[in-house]
Amino acid sequence: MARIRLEDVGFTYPGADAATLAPLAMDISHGEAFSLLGASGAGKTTLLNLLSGILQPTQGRIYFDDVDVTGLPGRERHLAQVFQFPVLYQSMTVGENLAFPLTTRGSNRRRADIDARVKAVAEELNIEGILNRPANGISLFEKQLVAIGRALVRADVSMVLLDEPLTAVEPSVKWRLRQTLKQAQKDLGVTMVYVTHDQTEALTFAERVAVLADGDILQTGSPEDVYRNPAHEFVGHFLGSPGMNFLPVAELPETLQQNVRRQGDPERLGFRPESAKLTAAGTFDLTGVVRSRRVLGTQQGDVISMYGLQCGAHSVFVRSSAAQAVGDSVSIDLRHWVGFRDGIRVGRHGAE
Amino acid sequence: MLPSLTLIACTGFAVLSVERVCLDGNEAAAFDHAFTPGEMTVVLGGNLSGKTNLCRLLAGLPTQACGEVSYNAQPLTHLPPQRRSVAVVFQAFVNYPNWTVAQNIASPMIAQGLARDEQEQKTRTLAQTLGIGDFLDRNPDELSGGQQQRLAIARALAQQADVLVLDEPLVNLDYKLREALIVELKALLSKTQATVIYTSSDPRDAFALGDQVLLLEQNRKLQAGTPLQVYQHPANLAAAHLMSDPGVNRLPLIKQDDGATCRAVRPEHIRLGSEPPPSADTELNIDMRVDSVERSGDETFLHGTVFDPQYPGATEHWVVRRPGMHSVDVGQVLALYVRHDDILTLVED
Amino acid sequence: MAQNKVKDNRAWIGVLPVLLIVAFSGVIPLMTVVNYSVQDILDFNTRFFVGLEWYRETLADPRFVDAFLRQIGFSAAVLLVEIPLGIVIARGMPTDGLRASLLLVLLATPLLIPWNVVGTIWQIYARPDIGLLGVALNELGIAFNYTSEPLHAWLTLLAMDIWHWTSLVALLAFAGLTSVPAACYQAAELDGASKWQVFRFVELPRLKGVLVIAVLLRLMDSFMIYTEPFVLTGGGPGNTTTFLSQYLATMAVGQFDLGPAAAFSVIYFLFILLFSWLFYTSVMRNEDES
Repeated sequence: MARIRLEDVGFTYPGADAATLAPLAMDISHGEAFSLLGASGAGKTTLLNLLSGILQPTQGRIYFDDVDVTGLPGRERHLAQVFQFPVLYQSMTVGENLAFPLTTRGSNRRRADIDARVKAVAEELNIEGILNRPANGISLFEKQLVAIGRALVRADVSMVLLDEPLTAVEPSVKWRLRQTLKQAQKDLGVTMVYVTHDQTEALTFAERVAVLADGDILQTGSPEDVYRNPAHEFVGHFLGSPGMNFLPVAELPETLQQNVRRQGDPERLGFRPESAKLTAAGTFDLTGVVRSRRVLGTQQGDVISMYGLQCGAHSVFVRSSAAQAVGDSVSIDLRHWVGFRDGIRVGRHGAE
Repeated sequence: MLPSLTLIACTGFAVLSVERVCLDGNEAAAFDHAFTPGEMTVVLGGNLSGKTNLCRLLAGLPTQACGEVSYNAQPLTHLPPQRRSVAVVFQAFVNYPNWTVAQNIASPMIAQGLARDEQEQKTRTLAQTLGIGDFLDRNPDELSGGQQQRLAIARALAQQADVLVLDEPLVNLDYKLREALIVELKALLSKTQATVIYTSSDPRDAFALGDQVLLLEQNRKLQAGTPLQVYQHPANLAAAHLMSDPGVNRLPLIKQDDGATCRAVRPEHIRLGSEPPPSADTELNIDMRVDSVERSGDETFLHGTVFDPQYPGATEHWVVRRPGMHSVDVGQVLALYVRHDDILTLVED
Repeated sequence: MAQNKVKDNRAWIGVLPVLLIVAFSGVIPLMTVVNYSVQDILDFNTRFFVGLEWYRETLADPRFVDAFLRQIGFSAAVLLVEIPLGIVIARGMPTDGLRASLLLVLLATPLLIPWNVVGTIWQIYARPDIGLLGVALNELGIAFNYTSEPLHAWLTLLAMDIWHWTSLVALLAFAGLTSVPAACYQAAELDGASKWQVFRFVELPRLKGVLVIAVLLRLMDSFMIYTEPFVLTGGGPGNTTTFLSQYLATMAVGQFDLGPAAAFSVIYFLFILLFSWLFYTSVMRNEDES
């Protein structure tokens, strides 16, 4: 296992005008479960390829445990990778697939040691029952488990890169694979970097999440932190469904505006649909008109809805159990908000 | 509004209905359904539920489904697709690749023989509404996936058909884009007076888009009604499952005497012992060993095994869905509470 | 209940041309040959039914058996060289850029040359008196003469076929290789696989499909080879390079023995079918097991 450190690493494709990846720093601890979260085109794949040695950074250095690996090809970085679709040696059995990385590199491992290690990994992933099956004859779910097993089998691996590993897995069983991965990460203490565009996968898997947009890391933090206290407006927008609501501070009612300005004088105020409460008009300064209502289900017998509200010239979403009809005027009580200036967080307010 | 539709609106309700439909050609599962005119019906069903077959039947495309289709009491069944006033948007982005965006949108109007300036006018309006007004001269392959699907929707709307069929149109898009398009689609389609049929496998789409919902499973009609009706009073276990994300949880071994019914609870109706209790204390207490914790940001999903102390060995896999971020350790045993009112007694079918 | 299929029999009109072509080019000639093969034809108006007489006669004919064995030897030799050589060439090809396009054109060139021209090219090229290859070999001290030495004739024929057809195998294998996902190579690289292991475990399993096609094409084609040896060696020296098709042509066109020639044709046809079937099923059975 290793600590992975990126110092000022940037990448520009030859002949391209703009950098695909802005010079960025990243520090992944030894044995950490780390996620890279971003939409398509954010630079996830480029960063992944820099880590795995397919691409060389056009600037900056990459360190694995204080060893400069910037110029080294992937096989000399001793890393393993799990791909979007299960990559198996299709003419081998499951067991042979798992053992393969131990038999290469001119290693002089003893057969018994290899078998013991394969067995241990198979037990961790609950696939010891299919070791003798041909790799072609198992389900997609099992195939991806085997691919993960092959990445975990070498004890000397510096880190495991996971590139959207659940893409091919059926939605209803994704959580199982995710749990297995998480458990294996914990049990084996492997440094894992999980690249995904799916917030549930990133927030579920990782101890720390880095949110990537336009070739730059906007925020790195615990799942709670990136969700509740986004450091950048994009992070607030990207996480959550629907994402964070934004209102210009200058258009807020006077008293609220004064309150908000005390926290770092933000330009824009962001709040999540669930961190506001709807009450009858007149109770609070911030008001809006109900434009749409979408039922989400019931909670303790009450119908929960996602209301689309018109606040001045802006529309926001608020999740509420209050029964309001389209056209009603309502007050909005903000329980938790984050203030932004130039897209960057400058202040926040509100308890859990 | 659209001329042909106003006409219909004046002459009363033109109902699109299907009779004796068997989606897989099996007559035992035949059903009738009348789609509410001018409203949007979300046809909800999983893989192989027959929803695509239903779409193809309505559009008159070759399918193994059989049955009678009528619109405004006129039978459509033996009319070829081009003579039905039915527009279709498919899951894959289907556009004419060598025509520009403008030509694509105008294509149905050319076929209808509209005047040239009227065509251009409408093309521009439609493109603007769908947010592709700036790309009129581009070819479809120069657009992003979301824009290509908007184009397909614009082309379908340009037909001014009485019936608009959308077969999982957003399933191939990123979730952020899907989120935005659903809001736009709802606003756009509520303005037309066409009868809209939208298929999906996601109950959230049913709530977000549907005035009505029709549940299909294995080519059978399970239930129909407004989304909230179906959600609150599912006809049977399968209907409850389909209209629940994730599916409903069955109570372990507390079965009714006849064995044909079971009791179940929705994932969002389970309260954690650590949360503040509700005012009423008419609750059922049950313990769950947590197997996995999933967090999407605004919600936490706890997967676990629930057991009944009276019948050790009788276990069920449950999912609990709670708003907010909860930190729970895997392996921990949690006390869960369910209001008796939230327990669904369902026919197992 | 009525199926919701639009009943439209006009589709048959679309299929009709193909039916006619297949009938006139395949079914009718084949049936004619089968018909001839059970008759003794003295002239077009005088025919006798002879049953399986011609079949018995053909199978007992030592010249047929010799030609048949030669044919098997030729096909086996050609396959053993062309398939591995084709794979090696395909693996060495660059995957994109101008060089790749140029090489692809270069590779395809032999395939574009008419078969009789191929024969003529090699007939001249290998001539010991004026041919570049023949003269060069003789200069090197090898008494090369394919018109008198059976071994030399065989080697020239093999060289010609390999020159002519290896490109096809290479092109097919190249197409197969381009479909190997990049992730598979990357995974093997990270697993520390050697070059041989990459070929054996990553590429070969995915090449199987196209290689089956390549082997079938080359098997059928080489088994029916006629034009090139006819031009190059004329079946000689002696009968040492007379393959089945040439012997058949001699019978049918040279001696006008239509009945025996027809029986020969049917046997020949069945053998090709049998070999192809045996090969295909044995390969595909392994596929099911794995």
